[in-house]
Amino acid sequence: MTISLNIPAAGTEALVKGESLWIKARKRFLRHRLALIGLVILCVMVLLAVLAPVVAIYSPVELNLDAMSQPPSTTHWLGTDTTGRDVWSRIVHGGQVSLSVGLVAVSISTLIGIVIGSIAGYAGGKVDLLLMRVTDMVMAFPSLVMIITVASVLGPSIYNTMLVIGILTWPGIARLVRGQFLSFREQQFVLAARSIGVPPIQIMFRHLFPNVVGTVTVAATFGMANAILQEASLSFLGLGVQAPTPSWGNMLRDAQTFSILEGMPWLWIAPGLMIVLAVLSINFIGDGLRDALDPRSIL
Amino acid sequence: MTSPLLNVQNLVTRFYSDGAVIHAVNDVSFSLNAGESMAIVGESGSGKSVTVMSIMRLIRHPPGRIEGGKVFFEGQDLLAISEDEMRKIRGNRIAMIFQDPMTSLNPVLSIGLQMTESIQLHLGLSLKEAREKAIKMLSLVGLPKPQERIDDFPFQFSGGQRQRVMIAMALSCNPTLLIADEPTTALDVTVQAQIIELIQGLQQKLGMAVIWISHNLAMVAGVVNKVAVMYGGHLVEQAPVDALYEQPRHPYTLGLLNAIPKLEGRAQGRLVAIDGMPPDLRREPDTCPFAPRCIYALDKCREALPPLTQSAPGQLSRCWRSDELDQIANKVELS
Repeated sequence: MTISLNIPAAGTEALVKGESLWIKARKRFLRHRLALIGLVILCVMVLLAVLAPVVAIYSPVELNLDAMSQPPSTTHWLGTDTTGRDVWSRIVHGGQVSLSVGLVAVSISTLIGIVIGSIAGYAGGKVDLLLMRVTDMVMAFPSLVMIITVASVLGPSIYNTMLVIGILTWPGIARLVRGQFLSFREQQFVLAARSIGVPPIQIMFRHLFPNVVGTVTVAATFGMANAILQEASLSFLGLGVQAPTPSWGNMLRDAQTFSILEGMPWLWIAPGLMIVLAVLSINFIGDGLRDALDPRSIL
Repeated sequence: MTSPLLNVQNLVTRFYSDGAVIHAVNDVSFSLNAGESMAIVGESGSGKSVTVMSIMRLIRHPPGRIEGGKVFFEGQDLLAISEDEMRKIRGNRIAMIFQDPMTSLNPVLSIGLQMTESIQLHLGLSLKEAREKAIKMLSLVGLPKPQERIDDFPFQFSGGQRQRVMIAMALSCNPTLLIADEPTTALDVTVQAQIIELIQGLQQKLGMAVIWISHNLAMVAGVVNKVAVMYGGHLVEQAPVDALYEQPRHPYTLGLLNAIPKLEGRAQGRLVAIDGMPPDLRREPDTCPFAPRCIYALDKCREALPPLTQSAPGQLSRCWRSDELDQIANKVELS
């Protein structure tokens, strides 16, 4: 690896001093401008969602028939919907639902994906064959049917939505991790680790996993963006979060009439923008993390 | 007479791929005393690496399988013990260093972490003690400023330095046997000499036995006590190093020695080579593997595999004509 002269001094200093992986990773992440912007936006969103009862003056669910269909004004910052509910209040409360669905669903799917993918990839042979057929099955499973079934058996709720999205979206990550493990396990450093007596579990999670962490992080952030969108489409179909609880998804659904699309754009611009912003910033963060976690990237 | 440190008896390893059987190691036996050093030489695909990987039980199954034989190490048959017990021996009693230092260190883990791992696994030290031990090992292998470099990542080291780190890692638990699988092949010539000297020096200091795997007869000549020559998965000749160079008892060894370029005399003519192709390891190992390329081959050689017989004190050869080889070789040279 050549170190060219135009690398900023901080980068070379870090090399010389032998700082820990985390300090270096943080430095690299902080230099990634888009990721930093994404992080700030996401932090603000999370903060607003957490502080929803404080920052929202009006109730997100109570009807107010005196103030129906009002455009944005000083009293209602983002206007009100057709039943007089304050859009700003619904946005920040809906953020709680959408962001937590994204986070929990992705945590579930990433965890399952990593465990199944790494076992299949490292073990190979029959174990791999079996696990991958199970993965194919889940992948081929029509998620909508599953969700409708779960919704009708257990009743539609935010927790069921998280669980179902999490349980149905792991095959992508599992296949990704498996593929990476398959190629990395043939590397000589795995042989070297085996030759000093490192047990298989430790090889999988201490030696191989750090090599795939970057890829998994990116996949997970994409997955999170996906989960938010999926929750939105489920809510849109009336299968996710139930009215009157707001989520960005069901706010969009409620805005799907022609008169609203045409005459009251504040009802769909706000939730739509929030989804786009959340997904974008999460993707940027994922990008930044991937670069930061790779010790080979000096910049 | 004390029992040898390592005693390999009739080792057989095969690989199964696409319905074909690859006879990678056929009936290989040798032994090594504590503190001794030997070399296993042979061309690519002759089975030398598979032999030592079988000793370490690092053959992946599938496709590979150790199908027969015994490997006695410190009196214990390594092929009969459980995987857990074997793991306690790897890196602890037997250590190994590999051909390509560029890929044998994990690129995303600091060398400190990789070194302390085996120390903690085998010696049961705390992380702090293991770190101190790792630093001590790094300075032992001649890496400058080890306490500053221990948290660096492999890409921050040169090839020679990485091989030093690998050696430090391999020796950190004080093994009685070190297997060096072509440790210098991927390095440039000056670094090669340094690494060889380093391993030799450490061998004397720590009193371990070393198996050198190499395809370079000239390189191992000054380094080892005895040499085993492998061809086509068979051990074809085994002899003390001087005897082997003075009077090889197998035509393949003779060919190898003739192929070493010589410095004296005029630099003229082509390099000497052994005619023919390396053997196909899918064939049944029941005839002499070298017969198709051997200029001294008889009909007998193509019908039956010669046994490994003693042709001089300490010198074993797998050739029907080992006793007459020096005479017929001279004759061929004269004509």
